[in-house]
Amino acid sequence: MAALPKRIVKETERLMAEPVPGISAVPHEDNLRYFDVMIHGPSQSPYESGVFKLELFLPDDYPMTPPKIRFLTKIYHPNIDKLGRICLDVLKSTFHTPFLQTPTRLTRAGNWSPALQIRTILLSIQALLGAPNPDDPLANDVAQRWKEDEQAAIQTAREWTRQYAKA
Amino acid sequence: MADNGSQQRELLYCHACANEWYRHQHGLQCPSCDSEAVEIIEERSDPRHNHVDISDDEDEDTVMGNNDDRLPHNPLHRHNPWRDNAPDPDEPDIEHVEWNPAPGVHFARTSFRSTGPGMRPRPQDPNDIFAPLFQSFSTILEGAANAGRPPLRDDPPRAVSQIHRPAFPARNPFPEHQHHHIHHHHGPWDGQQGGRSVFTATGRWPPNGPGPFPNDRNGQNVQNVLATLLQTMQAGMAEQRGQQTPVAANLPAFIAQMLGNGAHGDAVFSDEALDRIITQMMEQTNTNSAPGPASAAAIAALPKKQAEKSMMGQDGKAECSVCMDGVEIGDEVTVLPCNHWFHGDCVGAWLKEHDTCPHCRQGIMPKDGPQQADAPRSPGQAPRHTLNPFMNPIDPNVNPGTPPSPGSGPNGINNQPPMPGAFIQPGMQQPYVPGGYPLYPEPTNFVRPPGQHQGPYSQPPSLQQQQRHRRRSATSPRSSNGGEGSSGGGGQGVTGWFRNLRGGNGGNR
Repeated sequence: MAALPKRIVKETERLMAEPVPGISAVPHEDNLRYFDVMIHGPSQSPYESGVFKLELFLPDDYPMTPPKIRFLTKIYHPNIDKLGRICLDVLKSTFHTPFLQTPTRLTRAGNWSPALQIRTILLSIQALLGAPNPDDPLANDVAQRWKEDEQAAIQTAREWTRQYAKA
Repeated sequence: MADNGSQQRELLYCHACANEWYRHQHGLQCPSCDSEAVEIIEERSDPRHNHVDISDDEDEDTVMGNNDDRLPHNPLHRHNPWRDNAPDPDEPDIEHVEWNPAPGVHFARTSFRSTGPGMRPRPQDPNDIFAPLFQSFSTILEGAANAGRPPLRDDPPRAVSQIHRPAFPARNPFPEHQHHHIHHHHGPWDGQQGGRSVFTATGRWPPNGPGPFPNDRNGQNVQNVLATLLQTMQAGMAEQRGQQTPVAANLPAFIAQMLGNGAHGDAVFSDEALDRIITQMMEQTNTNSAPGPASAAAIAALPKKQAEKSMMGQDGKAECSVCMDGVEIGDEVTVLPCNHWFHGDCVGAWLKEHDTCPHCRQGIMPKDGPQQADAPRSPGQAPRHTLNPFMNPIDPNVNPGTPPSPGSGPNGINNQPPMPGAFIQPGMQQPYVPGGYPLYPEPTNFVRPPGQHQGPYSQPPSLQQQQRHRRRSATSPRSSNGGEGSSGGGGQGVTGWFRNLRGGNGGNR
């Protein structure tokens, strides 16, 4: 592997030195571009008290392209599909490529910017847990349920959190 | 021969039912099947020869019974479907058929019955018979159908070839014991793309009723015929589906392949084609939704500047937010029209793919579009976002893009120092960004100079509409929270959105 870009080294150092509350990201020793991520569910959300594992990978052309992130913990969320993929605009590059590679073809253009960082992306994901957006769904069945019966959907999300996202 | 030399007693032959009669007795319509597909039998053009190929001085049955040895290479003989019905199986001379196709275009249509009263089943291997049939047979019926119409060369053969471009299986896909119409078309496009044969199966064929040929006599052009053939073919395939026709089973994919790119008009037949169309749609509208790359000339023309003390943070440090390397006073940085600065290489690598400032998403290309100019926006030309003190300090009162800021103070927009890309200050967990562009979406330490309160987004709507960096859907709660005035500082949708989500107070700071 080519030498790790300085930016990745710096980001990693700062993530270690100044961890974000409720979020941890630890690179693998054998692959410093691959991070084990833990995100605590935001309080007052259906995911409260859950700890969600994610994997994060920094592509070769990072930061010109966004990190690849996926939930490993099962989660009931309208913007996260059953494979853990996340529908979040900042996780996508702009219009050229991403919408053909993502399950939802016609999501709006990506909003990744090289000024964003691992830290900001993970915060955005944590925020997404606190503010599900069923109008921009990735998991259509979940989103539909969220729209039709939000209370029941939230209850399901709580149950899944209890069941799968144990601390 | 029935009436050699007897010109006054013309003998007619019915191509539909192989009946023969004298013209003066029954006229030009077949008395047996009422078909009009008839031909006057002449010495040099005897349509009956199309159907049999045996010596005229031998008994038919005898010939049929034993000529396999004598004529082993004549498939016509072996597969004569009219054998039992042919009343006068004379020696054929098919070269005398008078239908004369246009030069370079050959349109042949051969019809025979595989079953019928007293008929043998059709031969098992149609390949043996079709090739010579198509080479040698050109029925007068087709000539009759084409009578009075322009020569075939006036028809657009390309349209035909488009319909039939991929070769269908060179075998008859239909089972025995049906009435068959076998149509074979070949023309100048054969040599280029391989022959194409269309086999159609229909339910009926005379003698019990008028066949399709008389009905086709009024056909106006060959396209109609071929369109009908295609429909018939598909109908036949549908009937055969599940039996033995892989083409029919894969009809959609087959059509997709036939049409080359899986799309024809508005119809698509594959995921790839759908993706392609969606790509087209997105690209057609991308000027409204997302920016493309900035031109190399525009990137090269961006102003450069040595970092100065006013660009540093409170602790005197700054860094390029793309590479996160520190920037010292005196280092050369590239300044975007929005005043955000970066290392030239860093921001260039981004701009050549996306014409957006990494911080505020404002583009560097002229607002009228990249096709108009290769130069970045000049301050006077398109100050869509904010002032650019590096290039040309402009009085905001004469700048239509930036209305006077009511809260202009020492840190206000009028005397705003160059905005650095970011400041990371030791001892602060969150970055401090004097220009109002936080690196991290944390509301707590976010500080915006009072003059920036209304920010660049209080511009006239016409300019706002042209700000391509604000491309997120207006219906999205995220974008409406993050991109509009509540967040103000820099238009970082994520940031503002996150601020609203996290604290709900960041936008008012």
